[in-house]
Amino acid sequence: MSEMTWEHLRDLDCGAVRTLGDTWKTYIDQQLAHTERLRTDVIEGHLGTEHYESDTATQVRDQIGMTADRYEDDLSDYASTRIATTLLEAADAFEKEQNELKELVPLIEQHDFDIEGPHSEYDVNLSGGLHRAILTLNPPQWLCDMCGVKKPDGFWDIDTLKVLFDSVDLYGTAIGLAGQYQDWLRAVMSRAHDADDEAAAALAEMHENPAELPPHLGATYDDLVDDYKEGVTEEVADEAEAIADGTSGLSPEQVNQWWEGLSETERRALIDEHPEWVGPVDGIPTEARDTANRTVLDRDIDALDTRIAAEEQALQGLDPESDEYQNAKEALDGLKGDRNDLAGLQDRITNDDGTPRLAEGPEPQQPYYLLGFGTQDNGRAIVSIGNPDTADNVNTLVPGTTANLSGAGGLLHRAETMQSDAQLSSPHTSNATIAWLGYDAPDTIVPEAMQERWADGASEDLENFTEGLSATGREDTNHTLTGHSYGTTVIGHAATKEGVDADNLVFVASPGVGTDTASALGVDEDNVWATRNSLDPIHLTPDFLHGADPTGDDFGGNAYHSDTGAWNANNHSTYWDDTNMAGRETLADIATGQR
Amino acid sequence: MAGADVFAMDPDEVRKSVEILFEIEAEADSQAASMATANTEAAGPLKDAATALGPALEAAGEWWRVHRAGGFCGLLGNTGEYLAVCAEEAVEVDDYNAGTFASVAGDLYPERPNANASSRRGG
Repeated sequence: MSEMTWEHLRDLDCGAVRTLGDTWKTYIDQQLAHTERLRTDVIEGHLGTEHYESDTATQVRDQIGMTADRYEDDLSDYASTRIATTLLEAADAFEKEQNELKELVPLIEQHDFDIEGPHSEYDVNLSGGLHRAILTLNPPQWLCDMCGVKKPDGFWDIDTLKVLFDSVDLYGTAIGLAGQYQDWLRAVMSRAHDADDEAAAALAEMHENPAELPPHLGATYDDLVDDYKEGVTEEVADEAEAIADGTSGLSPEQVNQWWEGLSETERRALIDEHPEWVGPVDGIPTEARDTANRTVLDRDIDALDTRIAAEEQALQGLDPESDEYQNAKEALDGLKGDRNDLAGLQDRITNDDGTPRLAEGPEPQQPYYLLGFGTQDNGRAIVSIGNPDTADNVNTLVPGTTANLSGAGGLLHRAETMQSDAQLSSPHTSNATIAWLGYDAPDTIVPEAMQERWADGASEDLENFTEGLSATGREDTNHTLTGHSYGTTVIGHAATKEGVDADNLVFVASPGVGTDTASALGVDEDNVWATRNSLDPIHLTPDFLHGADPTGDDFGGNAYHSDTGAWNANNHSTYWDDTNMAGRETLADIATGQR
Repeated sequence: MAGADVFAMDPDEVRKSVEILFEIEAEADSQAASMATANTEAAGPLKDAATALGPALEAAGEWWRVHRAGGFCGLLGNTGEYLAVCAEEAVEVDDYNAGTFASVAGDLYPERPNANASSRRGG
């Protein structure tokens, strides 16, 4: 568990961590030269069949070949994917947060604030000196400027009296600024600790279930080598299962490296034989996930049909007045609901002939890609319009309260609108828009949407999803993360606690994003955007629930205009309507890198 | 070569293979040790900074050196020793043990101590 303090992070030599990662890469190349030499100079050279020919000779050549294969797999899976990549990712993550600290700590010091408390939850408070300065009616110039009062010159004059009169405001302003720095510092350290813990887990998991080595030549070799070869054939499946169930400790980038290291035959076999281990995994390319998820979707619908038929059969033998009947009926209705939801999703993204459907919109129309789904809680659906692995611009929409699988059609409609807007805004770039219902959204405004737990529950999944997009996509792709309503809270929590891989954050109709300052989000403030129309009742949300309004001046970032719908419309949900072309066009410009 | 299934063998070529196997074994072993040292040196400041990565990195480097690079070297050594024996007298894979190397070919490779050879896993 990371116990790094902010001072530790500030002083950390990230370059040394990166250099070690590069040293591992060089070492790997060195070792690969050894295996190459084994093959050319030994197996095909001095130990070739013209010099050494018999059953035993074949066995020995196989043994050397297996030794080289094993070492190459180890170099790829452990030395490269696990150790070198972990070091390089950790160096990048630490350096990013270190740079934030280099900006933040001088600000804290300049404003005469103190950092206090344990490394797990720092406080930024007014220093004793600043308290005294305000109490003695001698506030610092920066505070007078923020409050619009003239700094007293030491005499009891009108300015001094004004300061006395405004002292509550001065205190409030100073405390508010300290609170913003506190949010920022906590976010920086949360992300740094998260990166540190993830890096340590990736290394620790490496030696939990290591691959077997070939046996040594000697007694019982024949039996042992058969067991070894059997194990090797199951190795890829074992790795895939560990990755899918989240016990591998691999980051999406590392998953991607693992996937790319498999042979085409191994990838095909996993998609065919274990699509459930491929479809949901961030870091596996979109095409493979889509194929696997569609297979599982078909299979799940068939399985539900079978279960429904069996339950209906069983129901016929029960007394309709009995509790047993009522319970069985409820369970049956639940199965039918799940079946309808999945079939609805399938219909939406699939043509009658089973091929992926193209989304409505301007040319070139883009196909749907199924990146995830499920019936747990209120359901999950992650669908991309266009391939995010090849797109110039990718915009991911995170929905808010009451989002569920039954309503995935409405969510997809919004994503289609965003995709069309992006295409019209930037017809010469390739764009993809993703509907990300990858979390259990609140069902109600009161009390569920007032709670943070739904956002906290989604944070790690959203972090991994965005990192997966970066791992499988192009290096220069412009990534935008757009939230609506509670979806903005989800993005804010993920961004401050775990970190998200996004170039732009857009908050539409936000009740607050879990922080009072755009600086805490880990994305350049200039690329943080927020909008709310003037009739949206979301403005009634008090700051103490989810933090300050991100459209406010004090929050930082940029606010942009959205038009209202009709006066009697639900103006919390009119942002994708034709009545709000101003807001839609701005969002499209942001998502296509034009703002 | 009585008792073995060797139909064609050029002992000199086999001995050259042995030399390469032992050479790679030594180089890989030394390179893994250097890598582990670099790892430990880099892990120090990370541990001082109370990171979780520091101890995990040190353990990972040592694990790599002992179990994976070490495993590779062990396999090369074992195969090299087997071939060294093969070049002198026929022996089936299943009948081989490290003691055979010590008694048959150990004198040809004085840099490989018998104690070390006989302690090799699987030997």
